[in-house]
Amino acid sequence: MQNLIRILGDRHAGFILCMMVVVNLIVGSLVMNSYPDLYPKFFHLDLNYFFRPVRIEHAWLYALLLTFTLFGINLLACIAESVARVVNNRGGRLKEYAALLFHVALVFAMLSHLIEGFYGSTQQLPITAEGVELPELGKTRVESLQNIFHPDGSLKDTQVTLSFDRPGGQQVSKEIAFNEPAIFDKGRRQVVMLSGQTIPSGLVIARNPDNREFTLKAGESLPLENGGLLLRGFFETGNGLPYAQFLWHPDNGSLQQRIMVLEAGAPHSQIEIDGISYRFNRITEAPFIIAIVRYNPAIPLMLVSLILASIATVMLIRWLATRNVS
Amino acid sequence: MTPQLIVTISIYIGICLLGVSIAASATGHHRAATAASYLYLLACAIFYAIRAWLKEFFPFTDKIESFVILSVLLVVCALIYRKKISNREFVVLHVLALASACVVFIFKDIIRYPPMFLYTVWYPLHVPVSFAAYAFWLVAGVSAVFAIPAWFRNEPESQERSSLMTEANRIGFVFFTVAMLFGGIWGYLAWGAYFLWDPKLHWAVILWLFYGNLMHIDRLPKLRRWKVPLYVAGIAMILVAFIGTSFFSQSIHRF
Repeated sequence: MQNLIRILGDRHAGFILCMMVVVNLIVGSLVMNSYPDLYPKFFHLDLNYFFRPVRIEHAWLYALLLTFTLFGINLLACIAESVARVVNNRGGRLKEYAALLFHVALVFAMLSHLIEGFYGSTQQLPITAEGVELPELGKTRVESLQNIFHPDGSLKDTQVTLSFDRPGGQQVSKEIAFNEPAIFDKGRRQVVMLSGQTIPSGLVIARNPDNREFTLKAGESLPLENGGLLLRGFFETGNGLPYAQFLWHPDNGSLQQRIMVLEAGAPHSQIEIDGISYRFNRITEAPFIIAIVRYNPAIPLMLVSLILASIATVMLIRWLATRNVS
Repeated sequence: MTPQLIVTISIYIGICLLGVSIAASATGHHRAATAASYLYLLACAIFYAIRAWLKEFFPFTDKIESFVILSVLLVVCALIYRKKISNREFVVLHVLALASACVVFIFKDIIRYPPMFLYTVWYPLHVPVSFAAYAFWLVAGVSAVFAIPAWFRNEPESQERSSLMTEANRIGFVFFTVAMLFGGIWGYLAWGAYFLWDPKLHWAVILWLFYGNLMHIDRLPKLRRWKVPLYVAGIAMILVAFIGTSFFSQSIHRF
C-alpha cells in the first residue's frame, strides 16, 4: 500500500501533471477567445455544456478533465504520504502543516468545481411585479425598487425588495442590491440582481367632461361604453417625444388607431373616442429586475476549502515572518 | 488649483522622481536613488488620497489606478529587496514601474464614481493584493532573467538568486491566494459564482497553479534545472493575465 501511494504520489509526476493542467488551461483560454460565438461572454461553470454536444473545439476541456483527474490522484497520494509523515513526526513544522492544508483545500476546491459544473444550474431572467415561478423558491415578485444615484447622475446602487411564496406556503421577503443577493438553503441557492429599473406599465387617462380617470395596462383592452380601447405600447418619435399608441375597437365598426403625446397639456396629448375627448394624466410604472438564479450544491465543500486555504495562508504568513526574523 | 490638477501634478512629479531614481541608480548614486523612490511613493500617496476623496471610495477601480498601483508595488518590492538584488535588477524593476506608471500619458484620466458592482469591500481588497502578487512574482522573474547567462553556460546559478526567486514566489503566492479568496467572495456576491469561464479568472487559476507548482521545484532534483526558464516564462504569463485579458479579450474584467 505504501509503495502504491509512493508511486501514485511521485512529486516529479505531480509537477509535470500540474504544468500540463496549466498548459491545458492556456490552450482553453485561447480557444475560448477565438470562438466567442461558442463560448458566451458571461459563462458560468457549466460543464454539461461541453458535452451537449461533444465538439472538437471542446477538446481542451476533455483533456483538462483528464489531466485534472490524474493530478487529483497524485495530489491525494501526496496528501496521504504527508499525513503519514506528520503523524510520525508529531512535532510537525508549521510549513508542513500549512502545505498539507493547502493541498487538502485544493482537492476540496477541485471537487466542488466538478460538482458545481455538473450539478449546478444558472438561469438569467426578468423578475417583475407580477412575479415569476422559480424552481424551489416559488413565486417571486418585485415588491419595491429604488435606484440611488451619485451626484453626477450615475447609478450607485439599486435596492429591491423581493417576496417569495415558498413551496411550503411560507412567505419570505428579502432585500437585495448589487453585491447583496438573496441567499437560500445555506448559500446553495441565490437570486443575484444584474440590473433593476422601473418601466412604464400603463397609463392613466382622464375623460374631459367629468374628469373621471381610467387606468390602462399595456397590451390590455379597457371596455368603454361603445367598444374597447387597447393600449398597444409606448414609443418615441425621432426627436425623443414619448407617445402612446391606442387601438379603438368600436362595437360596430372597424379598428382605429389613436396617438397620444405623453406630456400633460402638450398638443396632441388628447385623443377623441366616440366623440368624447380623453387627456393624458400620468404614466404608471412597474419595477422589474434582471436576475441570475443560481443553484450550486457545492457551496458547503467550497466553504470548507475556503476555511482550510485561509488557515493555511495564515500559517504560511506566520512561517514566512518567523523565518525572516530568524 | 483643482483636486484633479493636484492628482495630475502628483503623478507627473512621481514619474519624474522615478526617472531620477533610475538615473541615480544607474550612475551609482544609490542613496539618491532610494530617496527618489521613497519620494515617488509619497507622490503616489497624494495621488491616491485625492482620488479616494473625489470618488468617495477606494481608489482602485479604473485602469490608471490599476497600473499606478502595480508601479507603486514594484517600487516597494525593489526597496524591500534592495540589499538582496543587484543594482541592475533594481534599475530594471524601476523601469518596469516607470512603464506601468506611464499609462497616464496613454489614457485620458477621468475620475468617475465607480460602477455599482464595485461597491463592496471585497473588490478593492482583492485588486491591490493581486497586484502585490504580480509585483513579487515580477521580482522573481527579473531575477531569473539575470540568471539566464549562467543557465546557458550550464553553471549552477548563484544560490542567493535562486533563494530570492523562491522567497519572492512564496510571498507572491500568499498574496495571490488571499486575492483569489477575496475575489471569489466578491464574485459569489456580485455574479452568483466564484468562478466563471472568463479570461481573467481563467488566467488567475493559471497563475495560481503555475506559481504554486513552482514552489515545489527546489525539491525536485530532476526538474530543478528548469527553474530559471520557468520563472522567465512567468513574466509573460503575468503580462497576459494583467494586460492581455484586460485589453485583448472578451472578459467582463476588460478595462
